[in-house]
Amino acid sequence: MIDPFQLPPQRLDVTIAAYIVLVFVAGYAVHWFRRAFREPSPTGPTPSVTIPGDRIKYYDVVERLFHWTDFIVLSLMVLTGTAIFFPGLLNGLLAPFGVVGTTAEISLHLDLVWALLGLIIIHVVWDTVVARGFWNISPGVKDIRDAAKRAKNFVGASNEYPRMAKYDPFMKIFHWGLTLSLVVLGVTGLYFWNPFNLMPNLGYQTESLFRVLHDIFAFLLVGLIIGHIYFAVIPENWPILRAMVTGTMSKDFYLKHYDPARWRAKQSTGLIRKELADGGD
Amino acid sequence: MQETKSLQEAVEERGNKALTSAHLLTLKGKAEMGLVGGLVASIVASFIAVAADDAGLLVTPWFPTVASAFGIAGLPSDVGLLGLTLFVAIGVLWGLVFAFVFRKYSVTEGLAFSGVQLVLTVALLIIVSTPQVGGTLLSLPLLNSLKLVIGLALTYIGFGVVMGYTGKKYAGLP
Repeated sequence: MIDPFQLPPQRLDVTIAAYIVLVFVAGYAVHWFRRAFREPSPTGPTPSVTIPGDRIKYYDVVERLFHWTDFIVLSLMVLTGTAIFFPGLLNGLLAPFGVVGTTAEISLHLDLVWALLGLIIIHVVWDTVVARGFWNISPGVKDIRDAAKRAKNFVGASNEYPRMAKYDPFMKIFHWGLTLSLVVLGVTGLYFWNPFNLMPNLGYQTESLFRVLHDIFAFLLVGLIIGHIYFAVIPENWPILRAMVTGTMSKDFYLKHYDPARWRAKQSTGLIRKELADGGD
Repeated sequence: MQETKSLQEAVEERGNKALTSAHLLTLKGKAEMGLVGGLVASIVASFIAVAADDAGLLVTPWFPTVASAFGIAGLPSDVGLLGLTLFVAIGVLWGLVFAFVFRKYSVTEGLAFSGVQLVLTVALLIIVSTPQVGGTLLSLPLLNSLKLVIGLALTYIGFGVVMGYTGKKYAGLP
């Protein structure tokens, strides 16, 4: 009789992992082909709001520093995680970091957990307590209606295209999808890591389930990140990408794409010497 | 309330050649630009460094080499992570130097800054010996030294282009 505890825990089938990523990529490809021929413009009159200056504040400096540091940490976690799942596949990309072999890959993957944890704490505290931006990203009923309108527009069933709040429904789906993935990856990963032997022993079935869940959500995360990068680099979203560096966007872009009733932007202040911008000395 | 003119218009109207993009930013604006620009430029430079390393242009492995140049030793993966952290931290410091020292922000200025970075790094590698390099830059075979300098140049060009472009955009110029 086979003792299940002598067997290696099950992992996600490679084909399923490939399908998960391919489904995301296929979705983005469909989006690209569709938008290559017809780029929608928000419908309805241009909102009349008075905002002084020609630039509005979009991301503060902490949000931007968090985003780009998170980019480094998550990129390396995805690289090391993928290398652990597909041994030898990413040797070329990891060699410049001095990472050779599965043991080194796991070691770096675990080191990065601390960095990610620290970043997430900073993000949550800053955006909920200091910047008070939680309501900008929290989903609501209007988001469902907006998503339905955008979907109808996408398939050509309607010309209506709603203006967005600070984040559109799909940006919110990305944010909360990323959160869910990281929570599942964190909880399941904690069991395999078992720091200081704090975790209880898992049975064979439970450990296999945790490993499969870890793999599934890792590849969902990869699919989401591919989409995040795709939507960031398509030309119509360059103003938002630039705002992730400079923190500001033009007032014209804001008035064209956003609904001031749902997100009232403020003038960008303190970065530019106003007396020069006003033509004085 | 008076509408603020576009910054480009302000620069043109004054007709003052001494008024440059750097003058348009406040101290806070320059500090922010240095921090965020330096971070983003470091990311781009890291990508180029990985590509250059894989192409055999930099000393393999690159990021542990950076850490070793500062006297850090240990497990290769830990040293690699510390090397990357140092690379990014130094990049942010370079970003602040660019923001506060340069009088004008543009891709051309960014490239000039790359040249300064390259000269200083080459000077460091001539003085400092690391186990990965196997000596100083001058003790290597000429071809290997040239490859290393080319790899560094490509990495810093990426840094400088991003830094210059970021500075220009930060000042609100098209």
